[in-house]
Amino acid sequence: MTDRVWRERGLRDAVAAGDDAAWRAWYEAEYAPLEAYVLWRCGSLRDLADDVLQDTWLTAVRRIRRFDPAAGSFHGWLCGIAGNVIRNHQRSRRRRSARQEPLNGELGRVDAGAIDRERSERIAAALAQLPERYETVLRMKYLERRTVAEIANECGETEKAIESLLSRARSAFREAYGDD
Amino acid sequence: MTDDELLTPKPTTANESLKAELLARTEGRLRFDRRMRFVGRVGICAFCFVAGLGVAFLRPVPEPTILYVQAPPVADAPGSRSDAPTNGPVPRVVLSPAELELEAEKTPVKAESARRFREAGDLYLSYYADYKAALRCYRNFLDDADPADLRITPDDTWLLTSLKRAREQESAQ
Repeated sequence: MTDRVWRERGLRDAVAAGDDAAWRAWYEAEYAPLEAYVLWRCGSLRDLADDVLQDTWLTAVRRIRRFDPAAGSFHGWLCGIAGNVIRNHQRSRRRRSARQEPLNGELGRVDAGAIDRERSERIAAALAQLPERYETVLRMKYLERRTVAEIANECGETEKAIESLLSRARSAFREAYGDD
Repeated sequence: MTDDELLTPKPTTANESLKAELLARTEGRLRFDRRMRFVGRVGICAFCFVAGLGVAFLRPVPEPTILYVQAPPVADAPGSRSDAPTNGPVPRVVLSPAELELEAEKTPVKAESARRFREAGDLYLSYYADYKAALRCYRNFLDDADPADLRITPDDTWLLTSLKRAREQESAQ
C-alpha cells in the first residue's frame, strides 16, 4: 500500500471519529485544487462554482466513511462528487430555462457580460456531457497543464494514443459546445 | 474561439469567505455527527439499563418452595429438667435409631421387632440420611413384618416403597 493510501486512510478514520483538526488539515490541503477543478468544469462561472463547491464539501463530509483510499485519491473522490453535482445543476438549469421563455423586448438587449456568461454556461454544459475518459484527459491537459508525455505516463498509454484521445476529446467537446 | 481558448481556465480570484464559511459548516456537521454518536451510545446504554430493570421487575417470580423439616428427636440428658418429677403425664422416652435397632434385635416378638426396625429405618432415612442403615432396618422389617404390612401405604418412605415393590415383584415371579 502506498503512503498516500495510509495517510488518507488515517485522515479518513480520524475525521470519521470526529477529529476537527484532521478535517481542517485535509480541507486546507484540498480546497484550492478542488476549487480550480470546479471553476474549470463550470466554465469559470463563479456563482455556479460556489454552489457546486458548497454542495460538494457538504456531501463529502456527510459521506466521508464511504471514501476508500485504496480505490482512488481523496482529490479524485471529491472531483467525482463535484462532477455529479455539476450534472445535477445542469439538469435543473435546463428544466428552469425550459420553463422561462424570454420576453420579446429583452432579446435585443444583450451585453458583453451576458455573452460571456452564456459562453461559460455552454462550456460547463459541454464538459458535463463528455464521457469520463475525455473529461479526464482534457483536465490533465488544460487544467493541470501536463504535457502529453506526462499524461501518457500517468495513464499507462503511448504518447500517440494520448494525442489521438485528446483529439477525439476536443472533437467531442466542440460537438457538445456547438458552433460559436 | 478555439477549443484551446475555451478549455483553458480563466484566471479568477479565490473566494476566501466561502472557504471559511464552508469550513465552519463542515466542522459543524462533524460536531453534529459526533454528538449524535455520543447520544446514540448513551441511548443504547440507557435502553440496556431499562431493559434490565424491566426484566428484573416484570419477570414472573417462581412460587417459593417451603421445606418443612422436622427436628430430630433428641434424647433428654439424664438429670435435665425434663427428668424432674412433674404432675403431668409421663413423657415418652425417645430412642435413637441405633437404640431402636438394638431394641428390635432383642425383641422376641416378631411384630414388635418389625415395628421397631421400621421406626429405626424411618429415623435413619429422614433425619440422618443414612441410607445404608435405613436399608438394613427396612430389610429386617420386611423379613419380620406381617403380610398386611408388606402392602405399600401412603406412610411409607420412598426407600421402603421401593423395597416393598421389589418384594412384590420377586414374589410374583
